[in-house]
Amino acid sequence: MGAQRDGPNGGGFRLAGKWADWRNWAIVGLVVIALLLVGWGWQQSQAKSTLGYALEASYQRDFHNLINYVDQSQTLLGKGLVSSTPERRSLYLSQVWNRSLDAQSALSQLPVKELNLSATRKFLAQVGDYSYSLAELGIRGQEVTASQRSELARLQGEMKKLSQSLHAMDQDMVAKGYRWSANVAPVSPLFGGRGRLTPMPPGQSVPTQAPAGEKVPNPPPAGSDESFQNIDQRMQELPSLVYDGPFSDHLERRAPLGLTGPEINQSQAEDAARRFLDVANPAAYRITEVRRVEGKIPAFAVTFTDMGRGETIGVDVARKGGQVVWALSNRPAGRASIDTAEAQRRAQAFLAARGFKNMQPTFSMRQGNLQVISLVPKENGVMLYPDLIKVKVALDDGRVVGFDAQGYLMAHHARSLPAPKLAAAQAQKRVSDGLKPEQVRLALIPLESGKEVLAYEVRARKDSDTYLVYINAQTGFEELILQVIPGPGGELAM
Amino acid sequence: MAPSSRRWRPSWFLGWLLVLVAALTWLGTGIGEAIADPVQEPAIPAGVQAGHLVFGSTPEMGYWVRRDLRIGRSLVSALGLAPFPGAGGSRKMGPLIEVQAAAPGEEPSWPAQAGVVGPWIDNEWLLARLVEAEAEGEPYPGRVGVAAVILNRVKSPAFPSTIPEVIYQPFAFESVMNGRIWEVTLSADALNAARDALNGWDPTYGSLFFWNPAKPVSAWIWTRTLITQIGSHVFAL
Repeated sequence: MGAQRDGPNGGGFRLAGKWADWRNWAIVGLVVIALLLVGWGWQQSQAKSTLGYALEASYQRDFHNLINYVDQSQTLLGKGLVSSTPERRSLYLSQVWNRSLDAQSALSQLPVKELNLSATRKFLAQVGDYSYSLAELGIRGQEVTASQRSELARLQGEMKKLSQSLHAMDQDMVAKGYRWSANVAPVSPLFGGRGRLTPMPPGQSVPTQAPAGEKVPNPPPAGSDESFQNIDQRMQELPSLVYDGPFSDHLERRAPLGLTGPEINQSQAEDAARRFLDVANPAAYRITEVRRVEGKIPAFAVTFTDMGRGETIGVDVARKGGQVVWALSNRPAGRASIDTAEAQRRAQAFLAARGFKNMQPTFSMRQGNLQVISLVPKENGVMLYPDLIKVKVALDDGRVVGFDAQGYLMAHHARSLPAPKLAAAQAQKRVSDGLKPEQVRLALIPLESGKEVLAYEVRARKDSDTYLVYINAQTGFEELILQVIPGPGGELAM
Repeated sequence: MAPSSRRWRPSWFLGWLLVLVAALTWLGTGIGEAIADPVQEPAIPAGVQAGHLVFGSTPEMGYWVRRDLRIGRSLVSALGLAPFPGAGGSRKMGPLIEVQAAAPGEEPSWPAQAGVVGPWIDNEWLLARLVEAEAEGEPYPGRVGVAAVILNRVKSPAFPSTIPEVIYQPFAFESVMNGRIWEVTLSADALNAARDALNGWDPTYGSLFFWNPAKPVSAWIWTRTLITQIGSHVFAL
């Protein structure tokens, strides 16, 4: 070949020359590709490790925040327990509320896969909620009972155990170089990934920071998932907690108070749903589906479809009593032709025609060309907020395109309200000095604990902000403050 | 010779490689510019402050007011709102854009009047994105149901206590794990579903879980109390 290259022009030389030419270029090309690949790979691995560290930092922050918050909750629970005055106790217990909810949120953001930590999360939320309810007792000037005190002590003990388990986990994870981010994107050990930690054999558990003499329950095995599993199992066995707060176990079992009447069958439900529709030509709407719904308010879910316009309306009818629970149309509203006041009148008329008398519009907001209006019954001059019903009116043709009475059906019952001990003028004097009262009326309000309280609703202004202050009509206690948020076509309270 | 023209030249390869690199660089810059490029719109009406939303008479005319009091991105591109699907093929936009539509040059009555964007708006859009990503093609009550599950979780002691914490909880939603939530184009339908749920409508009666029974799910999920099925999603407590 070399000899041929040196030779004079000939067929063989020509072919070999081309071949050599091609080969040289190919080598150059391959080297370029290889360099590009190496560069690309290096950049990828740099990017990957940078992202990995950022992710790991965020998980480590959550985990160590969790430990800190649990520790703080435990300490604050203890301080609340030994406080001798209700005021001091309330201060500590409301801090517990903050700290344990922070702990719950930090725990929620940890990547623990295929593991249900809901019992632990619920424990943290309930401890906070329970502490808050006792803090509330304190600001009402009430003492905690012996059983509440022992409940608090029990929760503090559980919080202490949780803290110890978490500290043990932390030490173990540091010792083994555990990476949280490995749960998100596991890397094969072939490429240098760290495998999941395996539980330590019994008897080899790491030392904890528990003070001498304190017995550590269930020495946690290594690895995050396994240890969390142990913690959660312990939490699942805790007794249920019943108190005056939104997370109390008794509220989960609450039954609807507003369902009365006999069981109905499917065709009765379909009739009730059709009668409820607010449409010009009910005949155009065909029933395309009927589902069964279980749960707190067992129902038939009837779907109507207007084939012409493609509108579908869902109507749920309670199986007990045949009342409509909610209805919702998916029709988008066109350009508005009626105003907010007219929409409120339509909503009231719609409800009156369906048996809901004396409904007063309260909060309202325009969303696009739809007006969502909250209405509550007014009985003997009292606004019954627990029996709130929401109605959505399309501002183009004034039709009601949405109705929601779930809250009403849960809460509505015949009530015998006490006569207020306070006069309206007395209630007005109880609001903050900086507020200028504008309007006072009686209202029954639902508290977060599920209880209902008769109160004076004092609408008052401070500078450009408007507030609703609720003063207990019997005791004069300031029960609740809402801020009124003006929005398009109405206002909301937050 | 004829074959020489058909001969595979390595130089072509290098040439194409250069073209490819150049094209990729150009594409990269192009995307960058597209993100940074503000939409040119008419002058800002008097009295409008930074951070306000100005709603135009057509959706394309709505825009944000930037910190330097210049016209920011158009509402359409800033919010990723797609024209309403169906509705006779009209280009009508979602309800947000229609809120208090002001004529060009006219001072918008809201939210400029209030001075701030309502606090609920941020949650609305986040929720709507999740609905779009998780319940595309589902019947309307099913979409409201998906949004309602998020809100039920917020109210539950076993779940985080804010909408963003629930949505971004690790491994909670497939669309967050695979990035779909950031890729979807928000439709007015999804925004309406999110609003209805925020306004209290709950077709799932307090459900905390939803899943598609046609896809593989953990056996544990079937131990929950089933409430109902809407479209292709099962809802459970």
